[in-house]
Amino acid sequence: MKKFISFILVISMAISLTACGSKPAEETSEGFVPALDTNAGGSITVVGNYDNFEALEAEFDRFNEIYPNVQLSYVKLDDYKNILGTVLEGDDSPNIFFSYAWMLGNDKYAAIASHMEDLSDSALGFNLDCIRPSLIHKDENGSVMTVPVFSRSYGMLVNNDLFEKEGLSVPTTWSELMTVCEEFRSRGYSSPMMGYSLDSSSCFMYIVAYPMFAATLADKPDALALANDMNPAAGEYMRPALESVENLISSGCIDLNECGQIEDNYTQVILRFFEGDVPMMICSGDTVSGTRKRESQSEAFTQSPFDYSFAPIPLTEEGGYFIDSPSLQFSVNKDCDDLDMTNEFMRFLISNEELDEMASVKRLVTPTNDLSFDSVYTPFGQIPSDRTISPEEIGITDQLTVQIRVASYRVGTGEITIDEAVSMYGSFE
Amino acid sequence: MKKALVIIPNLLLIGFILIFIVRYTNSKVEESNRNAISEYEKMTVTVNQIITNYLEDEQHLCDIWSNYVNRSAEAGTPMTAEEAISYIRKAKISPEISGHLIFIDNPDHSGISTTESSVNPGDYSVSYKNISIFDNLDSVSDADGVINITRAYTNPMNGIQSIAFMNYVKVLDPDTGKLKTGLLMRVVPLSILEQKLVFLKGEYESIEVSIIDKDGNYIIHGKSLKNSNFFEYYKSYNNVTKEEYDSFRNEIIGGTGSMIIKNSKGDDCVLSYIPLESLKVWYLLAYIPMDDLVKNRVVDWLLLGIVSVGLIILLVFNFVVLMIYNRKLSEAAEKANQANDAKSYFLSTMSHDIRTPMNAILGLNEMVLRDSHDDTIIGYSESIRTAGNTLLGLINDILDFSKIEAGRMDIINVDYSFVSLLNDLVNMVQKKAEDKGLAFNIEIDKEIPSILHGDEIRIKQVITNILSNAVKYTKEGSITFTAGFEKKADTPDSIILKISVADTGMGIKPEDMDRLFKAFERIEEKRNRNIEGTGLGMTIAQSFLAMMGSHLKVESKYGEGSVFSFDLDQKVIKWDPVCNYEDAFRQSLNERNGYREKFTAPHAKVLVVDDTPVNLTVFTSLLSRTKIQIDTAESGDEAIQMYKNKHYDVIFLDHMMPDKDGIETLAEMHGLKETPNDATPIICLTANAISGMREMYINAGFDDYITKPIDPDRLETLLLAYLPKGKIAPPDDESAEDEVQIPDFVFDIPELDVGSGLGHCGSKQSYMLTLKMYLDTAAKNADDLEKFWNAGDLKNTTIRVHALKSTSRVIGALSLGEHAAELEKAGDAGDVEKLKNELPGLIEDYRKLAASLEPLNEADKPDPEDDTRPLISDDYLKEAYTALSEFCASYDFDSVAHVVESLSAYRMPEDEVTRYDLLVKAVDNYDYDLIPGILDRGKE
Repeated sequence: MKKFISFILVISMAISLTACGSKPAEETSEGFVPALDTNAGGSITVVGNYDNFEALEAEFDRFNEIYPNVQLSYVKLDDYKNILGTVLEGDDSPNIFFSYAWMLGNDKYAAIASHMEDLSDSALGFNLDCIRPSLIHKDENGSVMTVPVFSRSYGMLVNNDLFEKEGLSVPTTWSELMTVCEEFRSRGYSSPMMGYSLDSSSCFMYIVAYPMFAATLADKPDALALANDMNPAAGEYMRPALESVENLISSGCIDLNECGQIEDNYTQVILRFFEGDVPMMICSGDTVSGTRKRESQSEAFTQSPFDYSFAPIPLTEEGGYFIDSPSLQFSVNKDCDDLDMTNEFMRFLISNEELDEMASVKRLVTPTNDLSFDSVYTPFGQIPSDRTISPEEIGITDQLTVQIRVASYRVGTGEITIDEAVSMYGSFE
Repeated sequence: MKKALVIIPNLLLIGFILIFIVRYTNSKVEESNRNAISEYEKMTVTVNQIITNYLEDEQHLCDIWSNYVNRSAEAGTPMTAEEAISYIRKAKISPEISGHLIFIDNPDHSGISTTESSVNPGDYSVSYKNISIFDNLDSVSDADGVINITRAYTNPMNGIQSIAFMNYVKVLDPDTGKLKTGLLMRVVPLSILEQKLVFLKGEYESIEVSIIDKDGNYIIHGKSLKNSNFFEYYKSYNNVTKEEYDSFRNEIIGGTGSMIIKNSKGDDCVLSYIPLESLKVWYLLAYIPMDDLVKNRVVDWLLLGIVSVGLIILLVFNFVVLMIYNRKLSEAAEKANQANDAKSYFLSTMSHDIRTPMNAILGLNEMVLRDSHDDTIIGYSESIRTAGNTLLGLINDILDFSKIEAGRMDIINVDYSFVSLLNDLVNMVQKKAEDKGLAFNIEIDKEIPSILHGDEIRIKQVITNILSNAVKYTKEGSITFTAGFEKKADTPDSIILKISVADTGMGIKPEDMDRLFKAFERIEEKRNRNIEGTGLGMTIAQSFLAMMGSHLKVESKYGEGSVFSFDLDQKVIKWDPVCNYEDAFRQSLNERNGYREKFTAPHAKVLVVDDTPVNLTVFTSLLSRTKIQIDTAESGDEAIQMYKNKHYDVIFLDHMMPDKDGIETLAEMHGLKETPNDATPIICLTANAISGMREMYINAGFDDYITKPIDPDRLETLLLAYLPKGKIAPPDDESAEDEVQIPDFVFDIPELDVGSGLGHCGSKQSYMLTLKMYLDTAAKNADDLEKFWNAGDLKNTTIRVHALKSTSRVIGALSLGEHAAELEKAGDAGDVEKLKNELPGLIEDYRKLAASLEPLNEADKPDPEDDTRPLISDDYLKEAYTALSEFCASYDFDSVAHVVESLSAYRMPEDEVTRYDLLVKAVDNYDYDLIPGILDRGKE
């Protein structure tokens, strides 16, 4: 009887305690120790050109668990590149803005650069070591004005279940790729590889050619200098890349007609892949970021889900390349209001956990050292470092990428020949 | 009371109260929430109106600008773009608002702004080349009042998020001199619109207002609504099916109302939606976290917790108080139990103390009854037996009641003969009824099955109680015992036995009915104080009936009589009907003998141990005719000694003995090894007869028990069960009392009640002797009576009438006896007239009855050939006559009777038979004065 009464009393006490109201315990991210008063307020605005940035908004929520009185918002700016300078000069200038390495050293964006805070300042306490060094751009003074939050790569989505069903292995060399494509074709797959082909932006030709071209230039500083100078002599260095594109099409690995039915370079690429009959879909990491959300939008995938991953295209007998390039970078407006809280948010964000979390939500490649956080990107984590190329590190300019992008597209569609493309280097726009 | 019986209902009550509170507060909260949401929806409508008004105002201002410009064009004095902008620059009041005049036809959607670029002072050119806000220009109307608005976008001149109101204007192209169409934009910072909603902050602190188009794209984007598209946002954070998603979209863009959705944190939020008036393609969304809108339930939980703790404290308090009271009650109950134990002890003691002397009284009286041939003695003895049995009945009533109270009374069903049960009942009651001059009528349904299954003993006890009461409380009239039955349709092997007893007694007042079945209550105690009884009879009868699934019904009319009845389910074993009970009863009477031992066992050895010598005497006397060898011991130690040395077939051991009681003696006996009596059954002999005694004795190690006063029949039954079969022999023929049969003509004499006569005489032999004696003396008595009456000797007449009354009642001539009793009273009262009128009739009836009995003389004449007695010698006969003369002379009549009786062992010579018969009659009739004359006649 005593036990019974005790039990009742304990229950009632538990109810009473519950009734006294409970406040959610403050959860802090592992390793993050707030440096400011957690009751402090403030307003932080991040501006950029993403229509949606739910991954960042999720971080806002996580930061608010520590600093509940801080208001954080993301605002998409129209005509971002042109308006950013104006916005930064305005009375209500943003705290954090999307930035790009090409803004640095470019007179046109000098005003923007002037607002950038040096993130390498040890006083700020940012843990830049958690980011792969090849992704961090340092100026001649060693200052870090932009910090990558996502990285980008080029490769192909692989339908692993389809390979398993057909008893084939995912190719890791050029010859294996040819063999696998032949096998698939013999089994009725008209276009074992597919990709977007309606315009040059993110077209499959560029995604195949760019890593090859970058690799060709990586250990040839002179050639790179010529290429960056838009010297037509550099056109010859595009040849191996363009040949790869042509070979894939001519060998039947890619059926242009099939690819032509994909209407855009993002959603339709993903939905076509989710149809389940495409062994390999060539695309960029940015496209992969849209896969998770569209799994539920695809009726075919919902009915017959399958395992897939993002792998480098095996363009050589040694395998493929991992083009490790920042996809999105943040800069802090050193002239903004609430700069301390802004830096506190950046300190919170620049950590393995938060960057991985954000990359996971966005499904982009994390800029941290650990690529295994998302199984889709696991194949890239297995690429040896000597086949990892950082365009920023070796100094590839944006204009250079335009040349290979347009050239490869026009060669791929048969608009021009490889020789013509080579000779036209520097003239593509 | 078990604690659980207190705690569980209390906890259930607490649970019920808590559930009620939870449900009640929940319903209140839900009602409050519904009201809050309803208010919120109303607020949304208000916001909708405010925004619409604002947008209309802004559009109106834009229209004023455009109208002014267009009127100029229509008036033939069109403005150039510069002039139009200059006009607007002057017309606009707020510095935050700017006007842009855009020429859509320009590839880069460029034009002029009223304000300069914030980064390039002096530069008024504006371009919307990279800002896609003109996708729906086709819908832009130049009609007044129609709102043409862009989504929120970044003002290219200052980088501020803004919205723009638009209208077309006609301006002069200075290059061509023609009118061209421009798009006039009133660019308003979004913050101004947000300021219009500041009033909401007081009531709805965290409200966010968004405006979307029909595809879900934000026109105005609330901060908490993630994504650039509201429907995408909804889909991201709300796990819905395609159908639910489609339904959601249709609801938002098709109706007005509110719904609860999940936000990006998984929290519930209230979303109120309504189409913007005047802008049918845009929709207002008002978003607020649920917790900020509805009441927080923490308060309810607090209430619940406090009530819970309060109730539990109350429960504990009540429980403690209850415990204290329970403890006191326990103490009181303990005292009551002690008192009850004392009562039990008293009952036990009383039972023992009364039964012990009763054993001697009834046992020895039984011996008197068996051995005495003197009617007077037998009559006295019968009275002793009756009184003793009545006393035992009283004790048994108390003991039965104590058993019923203790719940130890069991119903034991056995197969029984219904006729036998009736016989016992009638035998028990009929005499009592007749003694009181009551007519005892028996009405038995001839079809009642002969063998039934039920508790014969308890049924008999119930009916006996009712009949006894009827006799007790009826002064005159009759008692009618009726037994009938009904077949049961549902159980074909059972019947409903219907018993009723009707009397013409005093009846029961309606107000006394309730007291009838209360223990120890006697109705009209003062009036009935002379009627013996404990007041338990009806209570016990009712209890027994209840145990047998029935109840006693009473119908009574005060002063006229009562009818007691009950129905009883009885299983039928044999459907043979009882037929005519009168015949059966007569047959049973014929078969009824006086005492006759059930068996003999001359080789059986029984030890009986009792500290009271008279009990030992009774015991041995009761078994004397069985010829069992009986040893006695007066103490436990003496018994143990005998137990060691001699084998006995059965040992009867008294319980209550000084020094070493029966249980101690038994234990010591059982502790002995290798005695001649290791397997001998030991039966407890006890005067303890209260409930629970049987279990106690069996548990103590006795094989069985028998109560004192000893029931001779049960004693013999017990011995039959325990004695070795080989030692049991049938009863000796010699010991059979007689094989006398009552001649049939006796039963046919209407004036005679044979049963009553048998009851008085105790045996058929005795009855027949009495009848014979009655016949033999009848003539002389009748003559004497007549002689005394005629001589006017009233005293002797009355004495003779008294004698006639007594003798008539003894033989069962009840009506004659009653008549004689009346005349006796008349004689005592000196009522000569009554005697004169009725005495001759009485004498005539007397002689008539004697005449009816005359065949007895014929039947009684011994057949000389059958007489095997030795012929008496002349010398012995002469010696006997001499002795008789001498004893008569000395008035030693006992010796006279002894001598006459001694002569009965011999056959008389024919010439002496008459004289011998006369002598016997004289002795039997106490007419000793006639004896000398009889003897003298012989001499003569």
